[in-house]
Amino acid sequence: METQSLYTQVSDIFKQILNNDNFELQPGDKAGEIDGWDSLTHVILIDLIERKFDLKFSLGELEEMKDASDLIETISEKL
Amino acid sequence: MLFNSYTFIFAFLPLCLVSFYIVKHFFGLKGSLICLIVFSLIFYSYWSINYLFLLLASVSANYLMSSKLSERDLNPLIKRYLFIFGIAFNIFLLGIFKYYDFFIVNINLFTGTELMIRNIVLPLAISFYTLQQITFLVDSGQGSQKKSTFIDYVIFVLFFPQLIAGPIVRYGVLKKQYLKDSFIKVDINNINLGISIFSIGLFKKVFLADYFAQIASWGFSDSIELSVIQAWLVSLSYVLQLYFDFSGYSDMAIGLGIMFGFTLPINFNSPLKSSNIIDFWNKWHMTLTSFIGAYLFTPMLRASKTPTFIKSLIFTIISMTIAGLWHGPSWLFVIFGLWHGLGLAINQLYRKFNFKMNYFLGWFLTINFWTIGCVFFRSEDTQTAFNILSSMYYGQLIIPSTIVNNLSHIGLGEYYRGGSIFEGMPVDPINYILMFIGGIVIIALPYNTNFITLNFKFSRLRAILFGAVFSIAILSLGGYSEFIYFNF
Repeated sequence: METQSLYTQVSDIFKQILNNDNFELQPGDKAGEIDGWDSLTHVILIDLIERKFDLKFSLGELEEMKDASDLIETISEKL
Repeated sequence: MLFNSYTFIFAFLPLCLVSFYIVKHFFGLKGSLICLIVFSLIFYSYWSINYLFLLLASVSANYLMSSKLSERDLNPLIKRYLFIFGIAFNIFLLGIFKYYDFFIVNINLFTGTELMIRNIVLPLAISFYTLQQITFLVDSGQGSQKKSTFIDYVIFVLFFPQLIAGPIVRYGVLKKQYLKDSFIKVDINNINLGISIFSIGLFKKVFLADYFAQIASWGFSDSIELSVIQAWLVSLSYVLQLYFDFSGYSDMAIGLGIMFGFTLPINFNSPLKSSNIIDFWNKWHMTLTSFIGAYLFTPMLRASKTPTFIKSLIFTIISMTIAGLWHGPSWLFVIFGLWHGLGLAINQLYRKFNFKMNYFLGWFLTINFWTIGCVFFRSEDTQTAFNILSSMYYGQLIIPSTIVNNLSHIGLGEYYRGGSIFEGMPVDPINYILMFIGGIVIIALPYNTNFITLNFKFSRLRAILFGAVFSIAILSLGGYSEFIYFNF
């Protein structure tokens, strides 16, 4: 799947969780730096992403995700 | 072997560096990794040859279990039991060598039994190498870690710059670096940068941390009654000691890594400038914070089926309390962890309700909060901790005796006494004031070690500057002075 398409699909999940229809995920975005993206939201996001793309992240992969581009890259590798 | 010793700086390190680059040149990557492993074993054995066998046993057992777990066609039931056994094995090793006496003392205390304690000497680095191996085991069990070669695994655990007290490194991060073509070349820039970063760390440890340690050791001894200002000076001196000691160690580890062509993860990012406790923990012992988040907090919250805000607060407190206990077998570390868990939970609460705070007020509260936590972290027993905290907030003032004589008729004698705030301190007052201000200035500088690492360019001026830092540090090298985190 193309990276841009992944960003769009993951952005939709973020919009839903953050209650922000204008939100567009950018490669450098990080948990803690975006309003509402805290440790709880992160876990909920991960659950939704896993369900949407039918994949499973390991704890190590979650730890290595430092920003949105890592998240998209990991999803891309698993698809 | 300590990084801050003549043996390490003038014998072990040069010999190891030269051997590493010669072997790399003639025998390639594999040879150079084996060379590093041999030197890492010598480095560890210098402290205790007996516990080397424990380290090797732990590494071998974990490697075998992880390798089995990473097999794709392994029976799921066997995989499940092996995974549980592997985690239990690591916790058991930690339990026996680190917490056994603590458990026995508490069982005796609560049940009235008289079970014998064993006075087990804590094996150096056991907390760190166990933690690192647990990450590998979990990743293997969850399928994201492919089977590694024994050499790759051993270098991941034993690489001496990070073996004793971190930074906690991930297998993939390290391996990715030595698989690059550029790794095989000798890069003089790496040597220059590595020596510079190592010098900064050495300076922090021997010139600053060891100096502030004198005041902290004096003030935290149980026999002294401290005034308000003395209690603050003592606890803040410990804050400075702990920061310069551990960030100094991390700088040295990162500098050493760079000399060998490795980039170890950063562990500190000016945490004492933080204006809230969440931000603080994102900048203090960063690799541990990352581990707690990924391997404690996240699985707990995910296991709860429906993650809620309240659950996230509860699991934050539990994760931090466990992390507190990880530091050592003492209720004081449990209090330290619980204290920070509560602080993080309160911080999350006020973020949830969009409560904003002025930076300076936030910073002031954060430093106060951290200092109180440090009092528990440093004290030998709870009584000492509460004595110091009580002195910090309700202690007597010390004012010059002549003023006391003039004020004696007012009748407020319980709130002050005559004397000097420096009385009894094991350091010269003027030196102490200068060092204290110097320490604060270094913390407040806009450029930290990470900035220097990322923006390093070699020049004569910088060579002179780092040469001076290194020389001051070498001249300050005194007797045997362990790093605080060597005890964890």
